[in-house]
Amino acid sequence: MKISAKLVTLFLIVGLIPMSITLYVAYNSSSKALEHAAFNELISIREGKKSEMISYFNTIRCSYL
Amino acid sequence: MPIGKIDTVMTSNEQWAYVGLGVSGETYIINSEHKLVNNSRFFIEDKAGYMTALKKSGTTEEVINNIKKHHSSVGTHKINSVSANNSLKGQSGSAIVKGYMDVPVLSAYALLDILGLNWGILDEINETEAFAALTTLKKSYCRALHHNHRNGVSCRLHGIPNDLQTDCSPEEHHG
Repeated sequence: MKISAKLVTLFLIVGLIPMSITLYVAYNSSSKALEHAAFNELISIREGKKSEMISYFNTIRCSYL
Repeated sequence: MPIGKIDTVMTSNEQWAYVGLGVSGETYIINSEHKLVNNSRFFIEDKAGYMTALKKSGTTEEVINNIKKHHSSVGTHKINSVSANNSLKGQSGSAIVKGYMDVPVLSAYALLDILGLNWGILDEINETEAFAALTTLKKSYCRALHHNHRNGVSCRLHGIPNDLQTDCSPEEHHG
């Protein structure tokens, strides 16, 4: 193997390893963030509707008393 | 009990997309017998698909006829999903469960304990829609890894879960 070929291979490996690690870490944290955001959105809608219903029921209860 | 007002609030005046529920999200209340208190979004928007899904999930002919007769899913359609059961047990939380339309949904559930009623309040959105961005991310991650290898190494080697293996099939990588 020629020295230039050896160097190219070596540099490639040296570059690719950290790149793969960065990619994996970024992927992991962003997928978790996306999943978390989807659930949080749903929970906030649920809580909004829940308090809307509670205040509505309180209004009718008060108007009958 | 004025059901009309509950229906208006829970279906957001049928403006689901406007309130951030996309094309498959909805909020609904079930009573202590697991029956719908407000109309299902799918009943309103896609009656045929809704009826098919009900049949598929083993709803009795009687219930289906009742829904057709009254042009409403209120008071007849029983929801027995895991999240519905949990909400009536007094638990609150969120999870991916099999929805009543027979597809996986992200479901947030809680108990609605007002006026001594034991009702459950839920909101759900199809998993495919809620996780659309996540799917895109997973695909591009797979693609990036493939470009690192001349012959395209299987994503299995990179610890990508099995449910994504199809997303990483070679025909996805023409472009």
